[in-house]
Amino acid sequence: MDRNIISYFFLRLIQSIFSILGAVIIIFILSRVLPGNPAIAILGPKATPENIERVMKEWGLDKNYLEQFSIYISRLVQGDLGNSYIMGISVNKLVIERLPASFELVVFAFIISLIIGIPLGIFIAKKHDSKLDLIFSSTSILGFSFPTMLLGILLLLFFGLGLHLPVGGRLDPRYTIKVYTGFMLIDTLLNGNIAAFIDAFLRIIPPALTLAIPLTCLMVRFTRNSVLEVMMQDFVKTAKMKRLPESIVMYRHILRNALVPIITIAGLYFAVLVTGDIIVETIFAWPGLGRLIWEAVTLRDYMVIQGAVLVVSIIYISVNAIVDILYFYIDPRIKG
Amino acid sequence: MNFPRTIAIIVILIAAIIIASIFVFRPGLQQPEKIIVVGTTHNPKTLDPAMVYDIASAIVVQNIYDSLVGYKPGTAELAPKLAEKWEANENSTIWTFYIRKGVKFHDGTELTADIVKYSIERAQKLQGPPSFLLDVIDSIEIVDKYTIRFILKYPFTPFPSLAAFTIFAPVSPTAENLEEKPVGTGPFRLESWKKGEQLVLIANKDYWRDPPKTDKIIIKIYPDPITLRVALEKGEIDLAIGIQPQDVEVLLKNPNLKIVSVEGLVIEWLGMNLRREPFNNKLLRKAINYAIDYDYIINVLLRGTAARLYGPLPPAVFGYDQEVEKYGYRYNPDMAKQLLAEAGYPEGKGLRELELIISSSERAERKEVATVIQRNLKEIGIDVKIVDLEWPSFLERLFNHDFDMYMVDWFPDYVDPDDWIVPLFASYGLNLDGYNNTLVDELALKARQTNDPQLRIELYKQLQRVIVEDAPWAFLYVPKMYVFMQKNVEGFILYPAYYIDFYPVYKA
Repeated sequence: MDRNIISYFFLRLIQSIFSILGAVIIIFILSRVLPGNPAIAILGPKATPENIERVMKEWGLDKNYLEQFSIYISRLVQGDLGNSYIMGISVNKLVIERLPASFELVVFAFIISLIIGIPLGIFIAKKHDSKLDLIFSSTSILGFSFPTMLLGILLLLFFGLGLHLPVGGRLDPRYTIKVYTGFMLIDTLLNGNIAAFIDAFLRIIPPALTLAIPLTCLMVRFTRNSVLEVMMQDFVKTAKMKRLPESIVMYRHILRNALVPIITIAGLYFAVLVTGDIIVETIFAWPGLGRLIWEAVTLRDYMVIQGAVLVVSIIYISVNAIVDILYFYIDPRIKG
Repeated sequence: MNFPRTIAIIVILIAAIIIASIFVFRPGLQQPEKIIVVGTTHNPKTLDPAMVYDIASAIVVQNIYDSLVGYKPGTAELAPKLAEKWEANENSTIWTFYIRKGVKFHDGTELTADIVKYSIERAQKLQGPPSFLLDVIDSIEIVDKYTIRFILKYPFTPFPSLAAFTIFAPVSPTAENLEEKPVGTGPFRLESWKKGEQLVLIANKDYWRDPPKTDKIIIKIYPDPITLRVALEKGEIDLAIGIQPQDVEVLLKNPNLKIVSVEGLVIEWLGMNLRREPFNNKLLRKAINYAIDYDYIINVLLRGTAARLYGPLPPAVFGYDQEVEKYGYRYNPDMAKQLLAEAGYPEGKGLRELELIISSSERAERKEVATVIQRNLKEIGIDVKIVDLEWPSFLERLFNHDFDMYMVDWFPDYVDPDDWIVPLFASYGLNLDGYNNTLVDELALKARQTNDPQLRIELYKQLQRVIVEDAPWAFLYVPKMYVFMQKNVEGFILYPAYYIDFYPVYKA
């Protein structure tokens, strides 16, 4: 590795650390700016000022913000995200329980989108300006703008009541599976339970499709446009004139260059999806990170909001950093 | 590198697995144990009786722990549970409870009066959300190994019904980490809890009654009621708690399903801010009471899943006066218009636009009900703007008295008329509406302090009359509680106090 890359990595790392620090402060302030507090949320109509006061005191929320923040930070640097007020359980534990569910779903959806979206995009680019191109381009716009809520419910009903397949949750609760990795598809196999694996596999398809359909459409459009753009460039014309086989021109010359914008958009989208699409997780009873954040916000459980959003921010920032680094390997121009 | 071929292979492989799993493998589930799968939209937050103050958590805790006092099956009447009997001194300040002998915790520890004392003092020390319920207790004395005495700060007749609350459930003194690993005396033990996903309860074979008829209860959480409904229809779950009113009609027609329902204790009302104009005018409040089409709301909108609330108390509670159904308000738009004119606002002239705050995230049908009320009030000339807030934001405005009107529901902490009248109508209660009537204050205090049931009935009768006449609210409805289950599920009993008891449930 040359010096250039190392210094770039280093710079990127420092940038990321600052971004995370900024995120910590913003999340702390934002969660407390929300009207209401955890004592009100749980006490409901019985939240008299005295009742609120005693509960808030017990939870250490009667201290001023600066004091609360310094306690939070001092625990955070030791890797401790604090305890949930209402559940009394460590936030680290809550996040670790939920993260694999979100991750598994997103990776699954992502793989579907990539293996369908990119080849389809290339195919359409080759046939650009034909009737086929017009049809695919317009369907992809439709697919991308279809509301998730509606798509999710339609898929739930289609798979559940139409095809009579299991839906909702990650696994039939009657299976007892020992948890090794937190990824259901892997754990069921490690348990040697094929029936449970199939059940888990069937259950992940509808929520994954709900995420994957708009993403696939986006991939198709981006790949098509990006490939087309590269195809028009001089070096491709040169390669073609050299009478290189078409497949080599396509995959070594065109696709490699066309991939840069595709990876950018894919990376951004991956991070967005890991934040857990709250709607998908709600419809399919998927116990992911998005649901956890939603539950915490409705309860004003500051520690859980802070912890979960921080983890999401770290994922987002890391994925962005990884994407930047990937450019080095894909784009010959950045490599210099 | 042959990019397209590898991709093609992967695509074909995945497609093959999908097709194979749909058509070839039909996973069969072996079930040697007797299992009941419960689906619910309620997501428990904590399992520590000292901290529990929400229905979702209470549903689970009630099956792992026993309180001192229980209910007669299917009613809100008190019955012995861990306490075999109880008695009070003449002015209801000293309560003696006789604890059942031979009750064991899940860890084998025997229940004694000492442990009851320890558990309640632990809850007092923890200061969790429900700890205010223990404020009435001045001190706790141990009389003997199985007898405990509560000395109260003031006369309080409803004390036994308070002792049915989960905070009165004894916890094992040897247990640590009760938030996640509960150890109670109840019919089930907790086997596992994946937060936000599912809980597994295992029968307690050493229960002080006969062991439960089901070996394992799996509680699966469905955040979206649509998914819950699909799971019920597909038979993935045996019992569903949290089906929406609009789905009731269709599910009742399903030959595989049945419903168990009971009139609940929750009341829903439209509150008004009596501190402000125009609500300091009783005639206007009465006009609003006459303007609302209650039958339409209950029969059309809620599809019969609620009963009418005529006064401050729901029908299922002790002290409810049936007369209220005669003198209470009914839909009468002409009367409403007349009263509005008498109030000084003929056809609503001179009235500003009134703001109605609600939180539909907490009860989904509330928004539709509010819209009907808005339409009804428009018909007599009152303009209403509905503001739908998220739950904590709504509560903050409610407690800051920053509203014209609001809609909310109330679930009692203890099943005694005292827990409706004092917090909601006495000026020394929560006083949400700014309602202030010294007669109500006096009668409520007297009813709380007297031990004579007949006298209490009389007092509450009078209270209902006075409050309805003053019309500080528009009294709306009492939602029914209902649970759907597969036809082969037997033994399920629903309690008005939102007690979901899995102990007698079994699959035929």
